[in-house]
Amino acid sequence: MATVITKTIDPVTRLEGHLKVKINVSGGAVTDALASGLLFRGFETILLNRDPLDAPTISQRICGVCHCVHRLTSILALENAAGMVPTPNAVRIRNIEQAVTFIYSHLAHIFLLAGPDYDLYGLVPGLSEGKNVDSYNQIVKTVVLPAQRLCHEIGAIFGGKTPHHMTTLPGGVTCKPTKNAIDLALAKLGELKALASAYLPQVHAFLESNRATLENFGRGYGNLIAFGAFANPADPTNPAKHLLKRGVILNGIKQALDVGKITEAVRFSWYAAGTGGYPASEPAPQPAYAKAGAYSWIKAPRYLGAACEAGPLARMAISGLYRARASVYDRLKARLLETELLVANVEKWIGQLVAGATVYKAFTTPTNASGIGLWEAPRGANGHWVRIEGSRIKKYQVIPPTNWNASPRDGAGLLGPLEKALIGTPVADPQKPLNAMKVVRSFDPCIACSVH
Amino acid sequence: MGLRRRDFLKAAGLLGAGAAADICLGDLQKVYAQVIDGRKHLIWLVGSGDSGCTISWIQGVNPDLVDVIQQFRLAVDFNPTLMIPTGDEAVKALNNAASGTVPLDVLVVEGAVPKGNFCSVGEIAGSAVPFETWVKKLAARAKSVVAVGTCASFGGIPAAIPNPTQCRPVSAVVAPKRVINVPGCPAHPDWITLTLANVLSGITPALDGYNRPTVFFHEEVHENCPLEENDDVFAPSFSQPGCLRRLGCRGPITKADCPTRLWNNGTSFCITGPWSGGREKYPAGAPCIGCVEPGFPDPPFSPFYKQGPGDD
Repeated sequence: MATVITKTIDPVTRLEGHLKVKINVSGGAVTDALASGLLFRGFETILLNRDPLDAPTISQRICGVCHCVHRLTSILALENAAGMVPTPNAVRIRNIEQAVTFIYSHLAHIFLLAGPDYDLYGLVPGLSEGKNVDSYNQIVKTVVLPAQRLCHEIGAIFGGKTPHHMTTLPGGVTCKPTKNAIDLALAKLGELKALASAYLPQVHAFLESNRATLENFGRGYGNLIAFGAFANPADPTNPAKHLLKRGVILNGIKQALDVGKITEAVRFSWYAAGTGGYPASEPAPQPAYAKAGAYSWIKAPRYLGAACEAGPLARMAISGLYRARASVYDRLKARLLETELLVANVEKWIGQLVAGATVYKAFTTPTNASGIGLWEAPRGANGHWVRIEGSRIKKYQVIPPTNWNASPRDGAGLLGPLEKALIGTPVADPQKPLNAMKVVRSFDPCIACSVH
Repeated sequence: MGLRRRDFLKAAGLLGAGAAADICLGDLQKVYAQVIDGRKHLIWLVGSGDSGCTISWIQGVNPDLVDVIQQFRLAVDFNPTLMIPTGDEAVKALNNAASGTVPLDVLVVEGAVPKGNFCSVGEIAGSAVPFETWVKKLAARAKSVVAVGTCASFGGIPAAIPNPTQCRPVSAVVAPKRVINVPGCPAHPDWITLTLANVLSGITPALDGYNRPTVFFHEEVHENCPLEENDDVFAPSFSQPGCLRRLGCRGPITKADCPTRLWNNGTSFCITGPWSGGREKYPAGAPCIGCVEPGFPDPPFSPFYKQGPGDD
């Protein structure tokens, strides 16, 4: 029997936040894996007893990378509780804000976070070994930073500033679009498209020429979950009309999502036993760092008991725009295709904005009500559950995408999706497990989101 | 490689509007003259925060991040979001600085400092190293400590009532060592870059009572807000013209240069886009929430959409 070598990678860099990955390597492949989130802040406790209208602004700060999705998901939960539907112009502005955040975040992943592992898709030989950093910096300066900046500038036209735009709120948005704003946004989008069309084909070409290798590892369960995003301005609360659809794929079979089938386990998480359960009713987190057997601040969400993967791959597959098959190749490819899809759609939404049309309807916070906000972050399905009693927040629960992806084992001992995807990954030198890092980063983990 | 001296000074001159640029330009020139001689080492730690300040910093312009690194000859020995090395190699950079093997010119801390293992970074001999341990060790070695963002400066959102993880600002953890606070949720990239330029040149910028560089945080947002032109006109509802105070704007109790500096390459700030000839080119319409102030996000900064303290 081959020797087992255990390797701990902490911190895993080039992702958001504090992730540790511990792998066992035997016979040239990963045989076991543990993923740990190492920062806990307690947002669900901080939100208690506050004015419900403060939830979007505070929960927004769960993450500064996908910096507008928690804000919108929280707004959707409050609007769901109040039974109110925003105006078409408000929905378009929200879609634009979200889309430029997705595009910027995907570009950051493709070029800054994952890119160095692939020598920037052949553009910078030796970068994965830390060589030719000057030529990498030059591409960062001339392409990556300008492209991200353009996304953020479009976001700021309608959002005031980015990260953490402030103009969306329950009832709609505060910014009534003007012709100046629309023209400026379209001009900046034109620049963004030019940069994207000059560089994204190189990434496609690289993925195709390395496809045989990259689709052979990081496969995992292949169970996918998406809450759907990018609402139809005429019918925004109907997920069937979203650009990217809601649903699950379990064991290869696509089905409708029943939100009541989501549970969170805490058996291997640093929380008191019995504090998991259904997100609508589970208590605020009760930290218990000394708990025997636990190894992560991340809880373990499951759908009908299955460990599901969230992200661009899940969204594109559930929307029928990509095959339902998981691997490093498929995650990178689906993210790239979604980037291109959103660039095309954001242009459409900006073009459809009506200067001067209504963007805000007076919002009345219900005295007692429950609401659920289901949306997508760049990294996947994002859910907020709120219970309002006596016009204050009585209960608040958040399940972001990396909560699914980087979850630890659950009560049944089932590995989290990222852990499962690591199993079988070829690793020649356990001290430098580059392929394992490729698997981890293919999920684009965000630990600030996952623990919150 | 990098900008020629003249280009750099031109870029530095573009950085920020009005007085801020005048005051800091001299410092940037001194830094530029110095850094030809050798590398400056910087470590950027992220604790109880959301990495929003890292994302904000890399959006900076004139100079952009690459200019900052190349022109200041910065060796960014550690930044978890951006660095190429991972795992042990990343921790080695922290250990080298903590042991004094590699000098540390500036320690930047993003995020508040929670108690114990609510946040850890790396392992030594199989044990998780609490974030607080790194902050203390590295601050002891660093020539300067800069807290970036409201979490690191004042505790911010993770320290909000009831502060479930006992978060503290960096200054409370490394006292009596002086910490320069560059708050904001997130901090503006110019605030970060200009402050770093100052400390890299060995200059302490003038600081206010909260150890914030006075130049960025000396006037109330309300004083410079273009909507104040309509001082007696209060917006009756969101997306309507007029001052936003009755809708919750904390501009009157928040000191920051957002209205004159603007965000995202001069695009806008929370309250409004740029104005010319007494008219706004495009609106934003979001009330200021006071994100640069100690005490944010608790009262008097929240409830955000109810009128704050003081007269109309």
